[in-house]
Amino acid sequence: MSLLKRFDALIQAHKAVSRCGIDPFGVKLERVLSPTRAIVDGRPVILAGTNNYLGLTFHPDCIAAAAEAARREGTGTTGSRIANGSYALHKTLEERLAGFFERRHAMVFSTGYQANLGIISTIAGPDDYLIIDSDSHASIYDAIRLSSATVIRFKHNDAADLDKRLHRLSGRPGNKVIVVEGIYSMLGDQAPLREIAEIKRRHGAYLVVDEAHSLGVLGEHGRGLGEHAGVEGDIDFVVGTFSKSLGAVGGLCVSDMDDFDVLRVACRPYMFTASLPPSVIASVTTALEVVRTDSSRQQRLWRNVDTLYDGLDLSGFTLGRQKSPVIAVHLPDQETAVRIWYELLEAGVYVNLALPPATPTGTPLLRCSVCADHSRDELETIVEVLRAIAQSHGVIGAPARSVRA
Amino acid sequence: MLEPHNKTGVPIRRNTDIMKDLDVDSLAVMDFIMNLEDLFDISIPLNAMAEIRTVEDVAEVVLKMKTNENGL
Repeated sequence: MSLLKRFDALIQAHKAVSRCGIDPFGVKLERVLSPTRAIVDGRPVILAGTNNYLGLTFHPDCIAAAAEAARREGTGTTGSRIANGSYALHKTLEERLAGFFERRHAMVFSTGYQANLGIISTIAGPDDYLIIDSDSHASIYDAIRLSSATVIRFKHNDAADLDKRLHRLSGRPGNKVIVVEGIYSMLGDQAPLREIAEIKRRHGAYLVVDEAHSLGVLGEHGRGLGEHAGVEGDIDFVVGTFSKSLGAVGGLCVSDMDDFDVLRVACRPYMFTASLPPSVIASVTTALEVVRTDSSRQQRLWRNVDTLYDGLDLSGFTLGRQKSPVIAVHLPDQETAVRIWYELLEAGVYVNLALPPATPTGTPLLRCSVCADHSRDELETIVEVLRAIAQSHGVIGAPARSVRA
Repeated sequence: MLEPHNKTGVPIRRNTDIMKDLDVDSLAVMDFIMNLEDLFDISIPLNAMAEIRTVEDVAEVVLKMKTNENGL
């Protein structure tokens, strides 16, 4: 039997979704023009599936900082910080991150995925328990495979279920570490963090919050759901990414925990991978400063969320329940979802197609992400185009007509 | 509890392989496990899930969790 034979079912499934003429998981953006525009297949498209929440990928200061750092310090670090040493830039970014989050310690990872992988797998040992939300991101699921701890899942965003599971563990030795996300990446819903923090205190557990989608998006200072919910003091480790609101790539962890720096020589996904290049560190350092000093982007983002969410809601779509920069449009079946997604792209709108089993609902989703730089025009176009295509597939009803004769 | 997920309609026995014989996807297995956890007031660690293939495996894990002092 050939080595990759066991993927036959996956190969068939992938072929089936590519039947529309293009592989939804292999879209080529020929040229990205701005945070909200690109050329695909020679056609201009509106980007609404890039997680570029604050539109910082084209911020002139971030670009200038990245270019200057590349010229001054070269294109890459060519190794890990443990083996090759840290650049002053890495240290500066870590100081800035600690300052931004008002924490004692900060650690930079090469991706957000690795930040979750490293922190979660390292902080809980063989006698400990990791208690994770059932809708956790793949990086959290992969972290538990790397971890030696016993892993228990609680029902998505169900604080009472978490409480029940911690109760079952009461009296057992071993640390209990709860892992949740600020904003869940598929449906855009937020963890009930105030209740979770209360449960964490009551059971003497630890709390890790992944603010990947909420950094720069929630909280007066953009520190995420912890700040927004007023429970930062209960969060032992904040994990995050530079690849969404900060417009680059990389991951972070901040904490007030004593001996935090031991993780630098214990956490394998930190130790055994090349550190971020100077250009990325420089653009992220600048982007963090933009988030810290300019809250207008966050305000614009949420105004745009209102426009797109309300527009789709009024059109009759079934959406994720909580308004967020991730707007999930529920669709009935895979074939319709793939067709609608493809027709949208042809009509100049790029969103993400999410198919089971990668969706928590077991049904397909069109996952739209909103950007602070989307113009009202662009958002209205997205609503109009999506409405027309969905109507032609019978997913939503025809426009309401006046009933007056 | 398993019957609603059964896509092939084959009768469910002790040695039925849940994913293979009933064509139940991993998401539905998780739902089924969570319902079991509620029913028996236990938590089945994800670490134990790798060993579960058949209906009998499920019963053994539940029994272990319910009786063994290592049960959760």
